[in-house]
Amino acid sequence: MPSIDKLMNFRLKYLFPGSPGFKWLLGISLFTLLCAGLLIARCQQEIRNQFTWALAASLLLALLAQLLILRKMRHKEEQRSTIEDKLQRSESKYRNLIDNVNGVIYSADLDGQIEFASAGVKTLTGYTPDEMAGQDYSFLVDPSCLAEVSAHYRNQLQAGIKETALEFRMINRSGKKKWVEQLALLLEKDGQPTGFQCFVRDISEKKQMQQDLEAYESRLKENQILLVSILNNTTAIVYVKNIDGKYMLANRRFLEVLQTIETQVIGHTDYDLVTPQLADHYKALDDKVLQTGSSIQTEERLPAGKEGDTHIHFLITKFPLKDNENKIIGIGGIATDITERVRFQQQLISANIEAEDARKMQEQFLANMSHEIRTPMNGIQGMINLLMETALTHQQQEFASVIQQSADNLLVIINDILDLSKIKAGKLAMERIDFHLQDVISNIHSLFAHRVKKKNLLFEIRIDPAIPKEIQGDPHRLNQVLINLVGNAVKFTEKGRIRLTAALEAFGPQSVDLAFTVEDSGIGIPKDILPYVFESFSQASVAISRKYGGTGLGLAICHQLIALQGGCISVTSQEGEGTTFSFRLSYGHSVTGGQVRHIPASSQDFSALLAGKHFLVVEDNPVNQKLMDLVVRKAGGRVTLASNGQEAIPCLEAYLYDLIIMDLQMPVMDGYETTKYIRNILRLHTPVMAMTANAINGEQLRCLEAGMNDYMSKPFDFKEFYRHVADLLRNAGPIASRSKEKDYSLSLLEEVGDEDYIQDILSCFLSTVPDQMTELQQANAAKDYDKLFLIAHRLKGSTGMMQATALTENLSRLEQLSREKTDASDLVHGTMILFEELIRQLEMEKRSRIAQAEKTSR
Amino acid sequence: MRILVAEDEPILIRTIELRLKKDGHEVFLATDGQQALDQFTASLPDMIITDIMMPYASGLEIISFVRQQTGKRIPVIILSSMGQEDVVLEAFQLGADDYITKPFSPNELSVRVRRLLPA
Repeated sequence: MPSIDKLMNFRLKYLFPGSPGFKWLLGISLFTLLCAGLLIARCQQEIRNQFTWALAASLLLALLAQLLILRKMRHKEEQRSTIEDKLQRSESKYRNLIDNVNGVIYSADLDGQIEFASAGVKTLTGYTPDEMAGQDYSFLVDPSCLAEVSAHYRNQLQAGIKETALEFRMINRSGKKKWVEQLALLLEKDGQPTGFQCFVRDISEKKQMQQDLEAYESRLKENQILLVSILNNTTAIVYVKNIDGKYMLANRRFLEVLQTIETQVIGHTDYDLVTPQLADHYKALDDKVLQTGSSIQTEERLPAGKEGDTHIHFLITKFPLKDNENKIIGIGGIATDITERVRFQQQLISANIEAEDARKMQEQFLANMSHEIRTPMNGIQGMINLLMETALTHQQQEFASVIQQSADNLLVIINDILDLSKIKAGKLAMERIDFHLQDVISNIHSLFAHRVKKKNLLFEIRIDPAIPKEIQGDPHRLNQVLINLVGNAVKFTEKGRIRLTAALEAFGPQSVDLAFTVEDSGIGIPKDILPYVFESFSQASVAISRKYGGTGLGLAICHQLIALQGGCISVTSQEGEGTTFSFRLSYGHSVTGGQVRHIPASSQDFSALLAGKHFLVVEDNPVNQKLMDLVVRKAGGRVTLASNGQEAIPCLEAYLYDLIIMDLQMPVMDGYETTKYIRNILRLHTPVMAMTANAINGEQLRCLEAGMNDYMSKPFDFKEFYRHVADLLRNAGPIASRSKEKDYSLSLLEEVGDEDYIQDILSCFLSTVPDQMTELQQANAAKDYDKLFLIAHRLKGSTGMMQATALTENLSRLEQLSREKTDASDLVHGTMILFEELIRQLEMEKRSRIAQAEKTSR
Repeated sequence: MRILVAEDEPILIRTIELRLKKDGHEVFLATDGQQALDQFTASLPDMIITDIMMPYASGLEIISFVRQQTGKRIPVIILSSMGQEDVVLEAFQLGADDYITKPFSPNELSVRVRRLLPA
């Protein structure tokens, strides 16, 4: 309440008078009261009464007047003190402001001499305001900008510019440079400049920040330029898309590859740039990045070239772009052109394929070469052998001998090369049969006995008596290794001995481990060559090759053959002292228990072996025909020649031979087919010996499967041939008793003892079975297994009565296969052949029976 | 005697038929199971020679059927194949009297038939 406030104020002033007006007023009032009192006391009662009232009234009036005067005075007093107060406060306020302002205020005259400076000058310059007074403003300005500053203020003064602002450097008392900003106000009086009023502020910090900012901005700009040049010059494609798949950035290479311009890319999506399928694909990739929040790498290709017939291959890395809060805001992509790499990879792949093809061709070539070389070699060797047994002059004998030796050497080389290539191609299979170790070693002995004796060497053979007589493994490969090692020993030893030992290393429940050594006292192997002796084509030196001959493949083959059997071979040698080869092989225990067929000892007289025997030679090569003819005749046999299977069949139908020599590769009808025909159709058990120039794996097995009894590869050794032939003839037994067999027997029916009965049944068979055969074929063709089963079963009953064993067995098998619903076309085919033959035979039977019956009845 | 021969294989039928006729029997033929059952009811034979595996009704079914008939006990000979030994056993359990394995000697069959027929 302002009125109360005022009242209070007044009362306080009144009670505690302080101003001279008050004191004076108070004196008058007291004096008036005293006079009035005295007047009252001196007057008479009546007068006093009247007068008292008048006096009281005048006194009251005087008081009222006094009050009014006081009040007026008080108001004036109040007004005066408020102005004073205000002035004082204002001055201190501005003084404060000036002294505490973040800067310096000073005034200077027109010459720049400082008249007054605020307290802040100490902080800015290091000088007190007093020290500053009277100084020229320029004494603190950095000399480097003094000229500029002076000019500025001169200009302000001359142009009468009211207010200017200038930034310049100054140097403070301690020599430190500071950036300041000076606001200069031109003071004027009556239109004439009187001086400057200036405000100076330290802007060093602001200036520094500004400079930092400028530096930062320029760095930023540089970086930007750098980035843009990198982006536009890199061979990689670089782009940035926002979260909606719209391009935000695409570098020059991007535009080049897509053959477009920036305005068609930025703000657009892949759907505006590539085919919808491709865009879908890219979108799927982008979505994956957005979903997983991690980068992905993928190989992509884009059509290139005018017709789009070539492709550019890219390795693209797509990665998420994240803001400060780790929120994905887009996708970045970098694609590297890997076309060259891909092309290189493709070249590599096709090179590999080519290499594989080449390897296969090489194999095929080897197989062909094997055949092509062995065939003429067979002729050469055979004819030489025969030639040498004719009456020759000494010189002719010598020439023939050289030819023979050369042919033998050539064959060894060919066999070595073929063996090695077979091993390398992994095509050499190991046998696992029971054999007598003694047989193998005896063979080695007899093979080399002659040469050892001729060189006057001692040939020692030691076989550990603890070695079981029969073991299981591959005797031929052991033989091959031993021939090689002993052959080498004989070749490289001029005097002394050769020792072959076989020792029992371990006798286990599953295996018999044997250690073989071949030791000689020959020329030895130089130390530096020793580590390489088992490598291909490594003979000690050219000189040695020339002197001793050989391909340098022998030891490599030994090494491989032993390794293939799970063994190992080692060598020790001292030059000039001799060489020792040792190898270990693991064999199995024999399972036949003494039934092993001995490899017959060599050196037998075969001259009478084939006496009276008649051979059918099925062979297309005229030289080999001639050779076989000579070889067989030499041993007393007779030969009929057939150029192929088809020619052979009429011979076989007409005559019973003791043995058939069958070439495998023949035109028109080859050896396999012919043999099958002989066994299945002609039903002959005549032994068949296969002759082949093929060195292909598995040939032997195929021959045996076709029904052949033995197998020899061309060129062959005569003695070997005679041994095989002798074996076959011995096992075949007396040939004379054999007759061409019938597929059937009517013995069950004959028991009845009624010719009509037999003929009736025969007629029944011949009239019903052919129809059923047709049904059988139809059921097979229709894959109607139930029907096939039924017919086979029914026919089985019929053929059973005729005791056509082979056919009945076939039908049993057919029953089984059709029950299992297994395709039996091959079997049906074979069955039909047997059926036709049976029908043919039964018709003959019937005819002969009718003829017989007619004869009897006549 | 009247003998019913049930067999689906023509050569065997002929072999058996001729052989039995030689012995003076009257032979009725059936080439499947159903015919055999019909023939049996129609001709009421003195003996049955039946194959095991036939269309429509097997030899085993024929034996069962025959054995269910009251009256005279009719001898049954089974014609079996090699490898059907277990079936032969079953046939015996059902009441077969004898069996002969194909291929068989017609004479042997004749002897077996004679042995089972009443003198």
